[in-house]
Amino acid sequence: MKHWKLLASLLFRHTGRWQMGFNLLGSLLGFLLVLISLQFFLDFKSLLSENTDLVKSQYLVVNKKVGMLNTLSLGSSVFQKNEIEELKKQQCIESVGEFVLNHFNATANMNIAIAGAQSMFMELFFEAVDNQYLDINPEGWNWHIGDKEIPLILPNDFMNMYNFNYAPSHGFPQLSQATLKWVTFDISIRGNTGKQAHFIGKIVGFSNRISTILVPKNFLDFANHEFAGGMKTKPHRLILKARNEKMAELTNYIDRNGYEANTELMRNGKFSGFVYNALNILAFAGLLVILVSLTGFIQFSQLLVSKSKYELETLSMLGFSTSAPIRLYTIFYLLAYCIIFIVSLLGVYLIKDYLSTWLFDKGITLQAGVSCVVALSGLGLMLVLLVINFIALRNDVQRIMA
Amino acid sequence: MFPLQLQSIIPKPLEGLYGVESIWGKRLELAAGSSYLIKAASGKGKSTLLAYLMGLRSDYFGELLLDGKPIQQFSPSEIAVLRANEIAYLPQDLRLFVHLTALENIQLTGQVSETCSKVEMLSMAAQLGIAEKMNSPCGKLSFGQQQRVALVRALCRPFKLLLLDEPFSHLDDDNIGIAKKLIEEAVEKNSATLLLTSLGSNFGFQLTQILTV
Repeated sequence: MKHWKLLASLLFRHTGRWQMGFNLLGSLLGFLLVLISLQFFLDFKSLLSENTDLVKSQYLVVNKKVGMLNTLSLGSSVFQKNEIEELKKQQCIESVGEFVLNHFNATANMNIAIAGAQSMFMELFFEAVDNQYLDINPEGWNWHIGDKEIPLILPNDFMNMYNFNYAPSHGFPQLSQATLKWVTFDISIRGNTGKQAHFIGKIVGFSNRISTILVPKNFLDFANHEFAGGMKTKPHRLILKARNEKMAELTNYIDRNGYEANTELMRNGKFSGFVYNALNILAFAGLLVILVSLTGFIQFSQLLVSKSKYELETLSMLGFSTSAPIRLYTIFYLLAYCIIFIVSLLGVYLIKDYLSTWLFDKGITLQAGVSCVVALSGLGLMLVLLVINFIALRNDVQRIMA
Repeated sequence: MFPLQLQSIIPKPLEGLYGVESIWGKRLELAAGSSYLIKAASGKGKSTLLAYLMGLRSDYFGELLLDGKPIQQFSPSEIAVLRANEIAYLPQDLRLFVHLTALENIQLTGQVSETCSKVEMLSMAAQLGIAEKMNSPCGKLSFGQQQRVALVRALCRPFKLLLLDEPFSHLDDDNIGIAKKLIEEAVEKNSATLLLTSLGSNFGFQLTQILTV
């Protein structure tokens, strides 16, 4: 462009350095906020889909709160059919599993004395739930009519209680999961009618998710039919398969209806909901800052153009077309936005790098680097802002020079 | 751009305020290669007419035709081309960039090709007694010196029509003589039409017609 240096000195001579600096800083901040929110949103999403510790809250066991009325047998802790239907309708819940309880007496006798320990006798209870709700699928987890051996899944907490509370205080040896899997029990079942049967119990696995003694559902259905005359009751406990991203909604629903759930899982749910909300707020704040800085930039460019009114009119009188000043202003904004874009990407990279190290120490691994989606979104945002700025600028220059 | 026709032009601010001998409201044709002086007292619309011819203002009744086409129908880019290549203009308020040097002001033009070499520019400036001021910011020069800078800027451009709005208002007689000579040379070189405004004197120009507004 001919005389571009002279033109630049004319058109930018009214530019306040502080004013321009603050505008650039505002836009940079807005860009950084939007891109960093997007980056964390993507990271968090991939964390959720990887099912890490942070979000094992996909399954939630819920029951009704037990109060004084229950103790006095005036209240009921069972879930009614309409309550279950209502739960199923919630968007945050994918499916609802009902726990089946035994309606017969069962006792266990440990028939192998371990390391000198006395044989143990205890009253038992069983629960069963559809296999899809289990966190493990151990070998031997099946039962057919006629089988004498019943596979059992015990809660992991039970192992811990035995090993760290019961065994030391009674002088029993501590047992590993593998050892316990070798242990079998005599299980005696006696129905209300007096009908009896003997089975052998065998531990096949340990569950983190469900705190109960689990048996295969078809066994419990069979046993309830055989020994309790087919008695069916409504469930006291339900297991919910919940959508990760809706955990906050679900925990609210559970609180509202006076249900109870595993508190740690609830906390995780609340945490993931909180993170989602925080990221949304961050992205929203970033967009607001961008909008404000865009308004600032447009006002700045209007001010720049209107302050250069004399120069633009005189240039027009000297035969300059509008394209020369528009081109100069556009180059200026292009440069400004490129710097903003590159610096914000660098900022996202550095902040993520810092946070990744911090999270790694906490046992959470994020994928390295800035996501392609973030870079492309930043580029797209930059182009949109440039176009808006260009249109505003062109109109102003044409108005003065026409 | 010729013939340049004024068809019953009446500036809106002067409606009903002009005399019978005035060109306002009459048909007038300015021919290529002619010289005209617009003579009138202050406030009669001399500068206004030049602004109309430059396409800077359009607050008038009637029509102003350049080669048969109303100037108001010219697009902004067509006007820009006209101003860059066919019309040179020295406005009364000079329109210089005060923080640029005199030379930079002269060199800053919208046309693509050079019409005047730097040597020619400096030679004109020297003849007008402002050679040593060429590298000074215009804001530091007296109005008379600035008027000479603006005159050199107007003459160092390609033009078919030269519009000079009271170009000698702040010049002494010696400088008026030199300026007149430079103007005549430039007009002849460009085979252009000259339109000059003045409060009274015709400064010894060979004129085709004296117009009264």
